Formats: sequence, structure tokens, C-alpha cells
Amino acid sequence: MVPYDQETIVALATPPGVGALSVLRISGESLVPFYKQLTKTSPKIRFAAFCKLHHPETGEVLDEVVATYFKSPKSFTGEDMIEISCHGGEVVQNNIIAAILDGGARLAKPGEFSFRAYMNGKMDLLQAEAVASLIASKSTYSTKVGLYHLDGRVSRQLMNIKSQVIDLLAVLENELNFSEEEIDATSLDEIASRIKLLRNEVSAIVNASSFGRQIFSGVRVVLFGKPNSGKSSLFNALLGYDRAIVSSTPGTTRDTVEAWIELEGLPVCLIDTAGMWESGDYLDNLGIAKTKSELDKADLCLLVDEDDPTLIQADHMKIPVILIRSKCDIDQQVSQSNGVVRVSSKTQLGIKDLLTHLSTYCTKVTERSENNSFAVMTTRRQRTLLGDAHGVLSEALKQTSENIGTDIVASTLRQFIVCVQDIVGEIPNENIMETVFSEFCIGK
Amino acid sequence: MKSQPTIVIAGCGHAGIEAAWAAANIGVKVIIVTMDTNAVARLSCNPAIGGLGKGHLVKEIDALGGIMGRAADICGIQFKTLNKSKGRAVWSLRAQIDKHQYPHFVSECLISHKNIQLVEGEVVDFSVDNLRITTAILRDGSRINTNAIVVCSGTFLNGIIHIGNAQYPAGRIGERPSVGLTHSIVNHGFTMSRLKTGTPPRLLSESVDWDLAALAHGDVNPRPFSVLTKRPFAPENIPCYIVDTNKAVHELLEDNLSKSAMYSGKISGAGPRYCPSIEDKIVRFKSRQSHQLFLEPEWRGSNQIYVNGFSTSMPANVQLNALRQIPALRNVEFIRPGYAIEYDYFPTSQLKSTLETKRIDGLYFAGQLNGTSGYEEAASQGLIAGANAAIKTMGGDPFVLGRHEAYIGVLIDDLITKDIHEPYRMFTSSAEHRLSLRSDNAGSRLTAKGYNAGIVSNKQLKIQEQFDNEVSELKLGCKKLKTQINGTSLSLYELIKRPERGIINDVEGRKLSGKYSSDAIFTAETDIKYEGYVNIENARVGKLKKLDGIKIPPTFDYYKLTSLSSESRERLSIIKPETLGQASRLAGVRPADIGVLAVYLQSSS
Repeated sequence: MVPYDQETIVALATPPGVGALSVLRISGESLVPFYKQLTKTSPKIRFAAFCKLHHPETGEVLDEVVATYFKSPKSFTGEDMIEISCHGGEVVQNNIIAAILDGGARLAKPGEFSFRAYMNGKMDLLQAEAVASLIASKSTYSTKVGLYHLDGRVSRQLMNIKSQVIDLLAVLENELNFSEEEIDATSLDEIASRIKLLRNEVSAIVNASSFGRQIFSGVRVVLFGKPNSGKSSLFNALLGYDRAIVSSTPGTTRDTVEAWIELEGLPVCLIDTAGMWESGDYLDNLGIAKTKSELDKADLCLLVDEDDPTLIQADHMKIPVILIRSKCDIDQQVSQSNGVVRVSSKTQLGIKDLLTHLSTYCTKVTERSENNSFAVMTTRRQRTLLGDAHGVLSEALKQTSENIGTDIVASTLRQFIVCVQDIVGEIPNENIMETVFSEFCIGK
Repeated sequence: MKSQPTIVIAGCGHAGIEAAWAAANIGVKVIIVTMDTNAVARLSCNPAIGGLGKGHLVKEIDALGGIMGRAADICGIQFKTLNKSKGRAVWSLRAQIDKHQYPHFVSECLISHKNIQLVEGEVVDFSVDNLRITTAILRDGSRINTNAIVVCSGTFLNGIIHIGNAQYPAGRIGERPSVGLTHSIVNHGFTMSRLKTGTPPRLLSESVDWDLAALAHGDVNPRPFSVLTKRPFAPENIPCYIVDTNKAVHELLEDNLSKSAMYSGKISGAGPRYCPSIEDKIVRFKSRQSHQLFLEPEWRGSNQIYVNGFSTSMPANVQLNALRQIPALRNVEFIRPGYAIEYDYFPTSQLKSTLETKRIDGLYFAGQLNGTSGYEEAASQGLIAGANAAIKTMGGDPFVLGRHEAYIGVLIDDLITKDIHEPYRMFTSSAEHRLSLRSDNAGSRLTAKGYNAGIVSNKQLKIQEQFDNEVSELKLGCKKLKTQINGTSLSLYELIKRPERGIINDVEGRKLSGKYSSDAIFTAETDIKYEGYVNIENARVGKLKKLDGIKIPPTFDYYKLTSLSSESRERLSIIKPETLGQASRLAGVRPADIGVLAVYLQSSS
């Protein structure tokens, strides 16, 4: 990470390309002179001024814009900032950026605006990560959860748990600090029951956070079955039915294909696999390995078979399975059997039913996270640390039940506090800083 | 002609003694200036050394070649390990001390050291050249040329004793205060403040009805403080006695609260929260019907009894009437009443981790004038200040103990980074490495390091090495020994990790340990039991410890970093922490700002 150099930086804040308007952001130490150079007027704080934008050196008029000046520290970065809404189109944008660079600014690096905001105490690490999540956000719902992080709600909830652990620790420490002669000891049972309550709170967040991954990284649905069982047709039918396609990319191995749809506000990734029965040559084995790894990562499996999916051994699956009888247009006579969705990709029979099943699953995901008041860990870093924190409380609980000294229980609780401090970024760690901010795109 | 480097120690209490001893062992000439050469090494308050946290300090002082542990073993009349129900890392030894024998033994040690000279006098001023100490100036006008002065003035700087409404200047009961030195120090730009502490009344033994008090013995087979103390250790076990306060005592004190020096606002200094006066306890713990009081003999065959738990600044007659509400003390007489003393202290953010002042080279502060409470805390600081004063004159590297190495390291780091609003007492909870900083492994942690600094004798190093070898052999032996538990085979090493299991509970373990000392067995066993937890603790603290390795240049301009909050910026600029670790522990500095500072320091280096 480069030192915080306090140079004036500029970047386009809206996506590149053609639009009605584009927004440019400038951040720096003291921007009043620069504002005057650009607009030939004096800035009013937090006032959107309609004005002509001039080249700072030649004075040439580049565009008619709305310019807003934010005075430090009341801005996104905590520095002086100028936001310029100019006309859309690459030519105009590029001319204006070039002029601003001529005026002494430089282009911002990815995440640099957020980095400066963090450095200036405008946001904590969770909020910074939320900005990154929001930018990468694939769906409506993830945006909503990201925003809860941004207003600091999740940090507050964690800090509240932390302060409860500190209170409990204070009781233990007090007893360690004074001899049996001086003060009476609290019973281990009471300490255990307090730890149990706290662990429940952390459990709730951990549980919600397994959904957090689904909310931010998407629900992964794998289509699985014998070759020629109609998986690919079903894949296409599902995509064709739902018009909210996000993307469609071929898998890195020749045999899986991914595509995104949005259901109930969640991003859903459909994965078409090679299936498990192909054998023989080397390339097919590669395909099987890929399928296995997709199943390991998946949240939901669509088990497709044209005869009877209930006969296929799916005991080893650790995830929910929806059984699908395919090609039902060919043989209409087969009797209905319980729990099997009958579909025909050709006639669209049952496709709507299947989408309803998937939507129900997605609704459960969002409901469960909503029940947990949105304290959802959105990144792998946060989830890993919170998992550690949960394990630490379980360990403390175990220690209270064994005849282990309270010195050790206290040490374990201290470890919990460090985990929480780590999640919210109270412990400086340059690696975290780099990973968090490098995930940003330019202009944020 | 260049003569032997000299350092002057001002004061000969527990800080001054260890400072002199460490410096003299390094090889400089030490001149102790004390106001009364008959009043060295006094235990001005309780007749005991050690206790929770403090016992750890005594073990560490001993591991570093200091005097306190040895003296306590020789002058101890009852030994007890406290906190035995709470885990071995917090077990702590306390000894009742013969207050007459202790100063006598310590004086002999000092006088017989070839590098130590004891001078009666009072340091009232000093000269500096280019912000470096050159001369100590005594009250009688005499001057001592010196490379360093270690100020260990205890409660003597502008001391004022309060007993109820009465007050008079004194350094300790019956002794003059020291006046003048504060003025000189403040003139050099130091800030000064006031603290207070108190001591309970002393009773006439014959006036106590001992039959009505409960007996409190020490441990039967105690371990001594010092590795140099000969085994088997078989000290005396002279009992103390316990009585309880009652409703009548509390009411009497409450009715007279306005007469307490502390409650009537006569004392401006803040008092110790953790060693509160009896009037304090009654106000703060209103719901408690009774407080325990320990009646402790002050020396062998003493007719003077210390009332532990009854520190007070009430008028003498109120103290007496209150105590007489207790059946065993119905006819009690005082040898002298309890009193409070108020004295000057210098906020310790003005010190480096060597206890040298940041402002003047060669000026060191140690002990109660740094705002601490207790003999052990004072002695620990004396040792570090004295050692560093001597090492600096000889041109060596500073002798600093990390928070992960010793309670002494925690104590000093706390002093220089935290705001002290009341006398600082050592607690085990202050140590984030509590599980590895045990009493029983103090020598293994510190003795080699002390030897390299020149403060530990060769003899002590050899004893320690022998001990460490025994411990490693035992641990290895436990790994090799297989034993059967419920049909499964596992090593004794793994078995010992379980609660309630030990080396000598096991038949094979007993055979293995036969030729080793009980101290080595205890430490080996505890090492094994704590190993897993210590690893977790180290990983936890390791995250933070990295910050201690990041140095902040003394000239660092915090105002350049506009992104710091103004409060943090101000604190950091005033205190000028030596490392990022210290900065992170400063009161009033936001964690977010440490993150900013970390990124800045790492990326600009």
C-alpha cells in the first residue's frame, strides 16, 4: 500500500460509456483554489452550482456542468471534494479528466477514495468492505444488506457482543485479582450460562452468514444426472423462462457452464455439469472431477433423470436435492410420484413449478437473514473470523465444565475479544488493508 | 583522569535498594543518599511481601539477581500461596515479614557490597549540562559529580500526614519530609501531581483478647521466593488472626465520615481504589454487613499488631472507638493510630521504558513517586532504573523487559502509556501473557537475560541452568512414558494435560521423577498443562506484538498526518511513544488512528 500522499486525485464515479450524465469526483487536501480555476466562481459548501467548466490552464470552456464542493471533513473521503456532473459521452468525460490532470491532479487508484475515507476515520473496515460488496453486488437483496454494513449497524452489533464479553471478563478478572480472603467467587455455573447466551448471539450471526455468502456470492444450483438425461435442455429452459439473465459464461473445464438469474432478490448461479457416469478417457475424468468440486461448493442440487430420479443414489449429497423427472413430453403415462417435479423442456411443462421451488429456497435464505436483523458477514475474511470467535466461546464453555482454572477461561474470553476486534479492523494488519481496498474498482 | 563512573541513588527504600544493588553489580560506583541511614529498607505499611501479582514481581526481582526475594525468605515468619483454587498461572506467594530483621539484613547486604556507599543526606537539587545530569546537590551544599541520579523518594517529596483533622509535614510517621527536590524537577519543565495512600493503626498486643480471634496459619510446606534460598525450606509458621467488623463498627464510622481527612476534602491527591480505606469500603460496599480484618504481628514476638484491612484517616479516637465494637478488640489500645499520607508524584508519561526521563539524560525515577503502590512495584522499578542508569554510563544496550517477558515489563509499560489517576498496583489481569508469566517459571524467563545485562551472578545462573535442565529432562521423560487409561494407551505427557492429573499421581511418573526436585516437577507439570493454552495466547497476542516491533522516530511529526483525530494527534505529540505498540496502548488514542499510523509507518519505511 502506498503511503497516503495527499495528492489531489480524480476519477469517474459512474460507469464508463454513454449515459445522459457522468459524475466525476475530485478529492484532495485543499480544493478551493482548484474549484475557482475550474469554474471561475467561488464555491459554496454543499451547494450544487450550475456553471461552465474551464480548462484550468487555457481557460477553454469544456462543458456546462453542475459542480458541488464538499469541505473537509464533511465529505466521503474526509478531504475537500468536488463532484462534477457533466454530460455523458466519452469525449466530454475524457476532455474534462485530461484538463483536471493538467491542473495538477492525478488519476485515482482502485479503492483510493474509500481508502482515504478509512484513513480519515470516515468508515471502519466493515463499512469499507461493504462499499466493495455494494459495488460487486449482483442483486437487489445484497445491496440492501451491504447498506446495513455501510451505516455501521453490523459493527455496532458485534461491538455490543464484545462489550458483553468484556463485562463477563471483568467479573473473572476481578476474582483473579483478589484473593479468596478478599472477595467471594461467582459460581462457574453462572459464568457458563452467561457464555451460553453470548454464544447463541454469535451463532445467530454465523448462521445468517452462511446465507450471507449466498446473498453476496449467489446461491449455487447444480444440475446433475446421467448424460443425455436432459440437463442442458432444462438449463436453457430455466434461463429462457426467466428473462433476468445476468451472464452466461462457459466453465473453465469443457464440461460445466454457468449462468446467472435473479430470484427473490438473490443472485442464483445455475451450473450445468458433465454428470458422474461418464468414464473412459482422460478428458471425461477431468469433467467428473469438476462436477464433484461443483457439488462441494453448491447450495442446492437438481437431480435430473428421464426414468426415475428416486432410483439414483444421492445419499452422499450434503445439500438439499430436488428430484426432477425430465422429458415428460415423451411419455405422458408415467404415474406421478411424490416429491418429484415432472418437467418438459420442450413444452415448458413443470418449468414454472421448478422455478417456484427455487424461489422458495431463496425466500428462506433472505428470511433467515432478516430474522437475524441483517448482521450478516459479507466476506470470507469476516466469516472465517466470526467462525473462530464462535469456536472460542464453545471452548470457553467446555472449560467451565471441566475443572480448569479461571485463568485459562479468562484467557479464552480474551481471545474472543481479539477476534471481534479483528473483524471490525481494530487491529492494524496491512494484509487486510491491501485485500480489502484492492478489491475496489477505480472511483470508489 | 577518568574515574569509575558514578551514579547517585536518592532514597533507600525498596526502589533505592534494588537500584543500588543492580547498578553496583554491573560495576559502577553507587552512592546512596538517604535522609536517615538508620531508616533503610523500612516496611512502612504492612508486614508482608508478595501477594497476588506482587508475588510474581518478587519472583522476577529474584530471577534478576535482586535482593527482595532472598530477604523475604530469610525474614519471613509465615508463607502462604494465594489463589490456589484459580489456576497455577495466578498462584502467588505471600510472606509475613519480621519488620525488624528485614532492614537489618538488607543493610548488611548493601554495606558489604564493595561498589556501594551509603551517605546520610538529602538530594535537593541537581545540575545539568546540555540536558544531561552532571551533579547531585545535597541540602548541606555538598555536591557529588555523577553520571546519573535515580530518584527513589517514596512518599517523602512534600509529604503531609493526615490523621482526622490534624495534619503535618512528614515523609513517614516520625520522619521529616523531603522539600526542595520537587521544585528543582518542576523547574526543568516536568509536570507534578499529588497522590495519597494510607496505613492502618497499630495495636498493643496485650490489649487484644486473642481467644476471640480466629487463627490463620500459613502453608505447611511452602516454596521460597528465591532460587538462592537453601532447600529444604522450613520457615517458621507464626499465625495471624482474623476478626470481623460488624454493624456497630460501620455505624460509628459512617456517623463520623465528615471527620475523615479523605472524605472532608482535606486531601487533594487521589487514593488507591484497590487498597481502600475502611471508610471507603463502607461507603462503596454498603450491602456488606462485615469486612474481614487480619491482625498481623509486625515481627517475631511483636507487641505491635498491624490491622490489615483497616487503613484509615479518621481521627484517632474514632478509629479506636470503632475497633472497640469488635469483641476481640473491646479493650484495645493503640501504639499509634492509622493515618493517610499525601505526596508528590510525577506523571509517568514523562519516562522512557528504561525509566529515564525523556527530558533529561541521566535522570531516572523509580518507585512511589511514579504513582505506584506497594514495596514490590517500587523494587521492580528500582531494579530496572538502576540497571539502566549503570548500563548507560558503561555504554551498553538498554535493559528493557517486554510485556510478554515479565510482569515487570507490564508494570513499566503500563506506567508509561496509561493515565494513572490513583496509585498503580500490579494485577495479573494487566498481563495479556498471563498464562506464560507464572511465578514458578520466572527464573527460566529472566535469569539468562539478567546475566547478560550483568545483574545476575554466575552462581545464580548455574543454579537456574540446572533447574531448566531438570525441567526439560522431565518433560522429555513424560513424552516417552506410555500409560494405559481405560484401555487406550497414551503418553504420560498427554495424560498430564487432563485436569487433576500430575506426574506423581502416576506410578511410572513417580519413578521417573524420583531424582528431581519438587520445584522442577511442579514447573515441568505446569508447563505441560499450560502448553496448549499458552500457544493460543501467544497467537492471540502475536497479532498485537508486531506493533511493538514498529519503532516511531522520536522526531515524528503527528501534525503532518492530518488524517489522525485531533485528540489522538495531541496525545501522541505530547507523549511521543517509542513504538507503535506503546501508541496503541495509550489512553485516548483511537484504534482507527493506530491503523492509519501503522499503514503510514510501514509504507514510508
